[in-house]
Amino acid sequence: MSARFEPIRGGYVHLDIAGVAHRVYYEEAGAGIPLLCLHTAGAHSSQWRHLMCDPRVTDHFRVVAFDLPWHGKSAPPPGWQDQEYRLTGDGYVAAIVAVWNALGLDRPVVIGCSMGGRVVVRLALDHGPALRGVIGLEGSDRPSPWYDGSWLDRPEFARGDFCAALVSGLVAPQSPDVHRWETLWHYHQSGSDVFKGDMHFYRTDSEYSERSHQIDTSRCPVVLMTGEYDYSCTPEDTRATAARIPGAEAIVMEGLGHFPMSENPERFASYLLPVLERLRATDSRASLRSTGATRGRPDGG
Amino acid sequence: MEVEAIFAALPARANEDPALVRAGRHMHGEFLIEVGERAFHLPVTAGRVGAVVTGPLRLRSWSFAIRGAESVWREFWSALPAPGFQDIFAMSRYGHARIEGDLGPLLTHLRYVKGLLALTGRIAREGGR
Repeated sequence: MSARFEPIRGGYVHLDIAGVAHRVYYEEAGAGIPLLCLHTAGAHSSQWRHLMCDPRVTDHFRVVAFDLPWHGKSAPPPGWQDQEYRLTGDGYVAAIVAVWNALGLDRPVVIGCSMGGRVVVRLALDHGPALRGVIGLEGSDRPSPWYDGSWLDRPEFARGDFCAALVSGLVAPQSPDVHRWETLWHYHQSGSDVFKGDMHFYRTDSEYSERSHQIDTSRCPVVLMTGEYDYSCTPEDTRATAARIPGAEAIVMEGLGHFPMSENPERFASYLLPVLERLRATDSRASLRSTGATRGRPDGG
Repeated sequence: MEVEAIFAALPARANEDPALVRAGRHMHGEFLIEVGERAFHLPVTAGRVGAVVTGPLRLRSWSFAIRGAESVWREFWSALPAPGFQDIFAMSRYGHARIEGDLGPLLTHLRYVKGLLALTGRIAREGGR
């Protein structure tokens, strides 16, 4: 087999997140509207590799994905050995905003999956005017736990093979084996206790359902897309969230589970491409109406 | 395929699968699968399933039990289970099945136990060999 190269480029950026120096790994491909991708708990940016190699996306979008600190190739901050990793809502948003600023992403669309699909609700609330829209995959505006909290204190949570087995049923039965097992490998790879640390955000520090109705979807469209086989964020969780956000759209994806972009990239593309197309069209109309009155700096509001 | 035949075929099929045996190599324990009223007791030693005992069971030890109606297990065993039936945790979340007892051994050996259950589905679909 001859060598074949993908169009993905990787890099490292040194930046401060909530006042702490970090070295963050990111990948990108394509040109156009920035599309910032957020991986699931305990995983890393490789989940987005298929999107970055799809010219139907990269012809129009600059697709950027990064590894949260502690994940993938983004190391924890110095002194990690004396800390217990625990992702908070504030810390998660701070990391996203830091990467958004550092890479100069002008009014990005943010797409996140699972805990990434949760945090986009908060991004739309807190930074909506500085975004072109958010897409929450397997996303909702409040925790909806499906296993007992005491499990988190068991030693198994420090083991990658356990984390993978815990989530394995969230991959739809239709998904090709090669993609299923690569998706699960990301969980095998996770640093010990990192998946558990992400669960702090996902299970206890991401209740937005009281505020989510305040999102102005005329400025920041909200699209929630959930696989029918997802029992972590169920289609019902997603529909209920969309019902609370005026103007939000809920799409239930047949034959997909909790990891649509990595478990079955082709099937996912059939759902995502029309959404991206609509966001582009909405964005062009908005640009015609206002000549860039809102610049995409998150801190500027 | 009769439910009894599926579980009777399980030990030989499981023990000849090196990847499955390796996934369960640290497991020493016993658990129950209940299909409607019928109980199947599965003893595991170092990733190998011993003879499955079919109920009724009297005072037999086990650590955890996974219980569901036969129609639920038939859906789980089908080639393309409906959403909510593709995994024991999906079946638990939607109330189709109950996972009870000491869940510690289940979590410790989760990949293996899920692998065994996936194998029961393959046996059911193949109708034996």
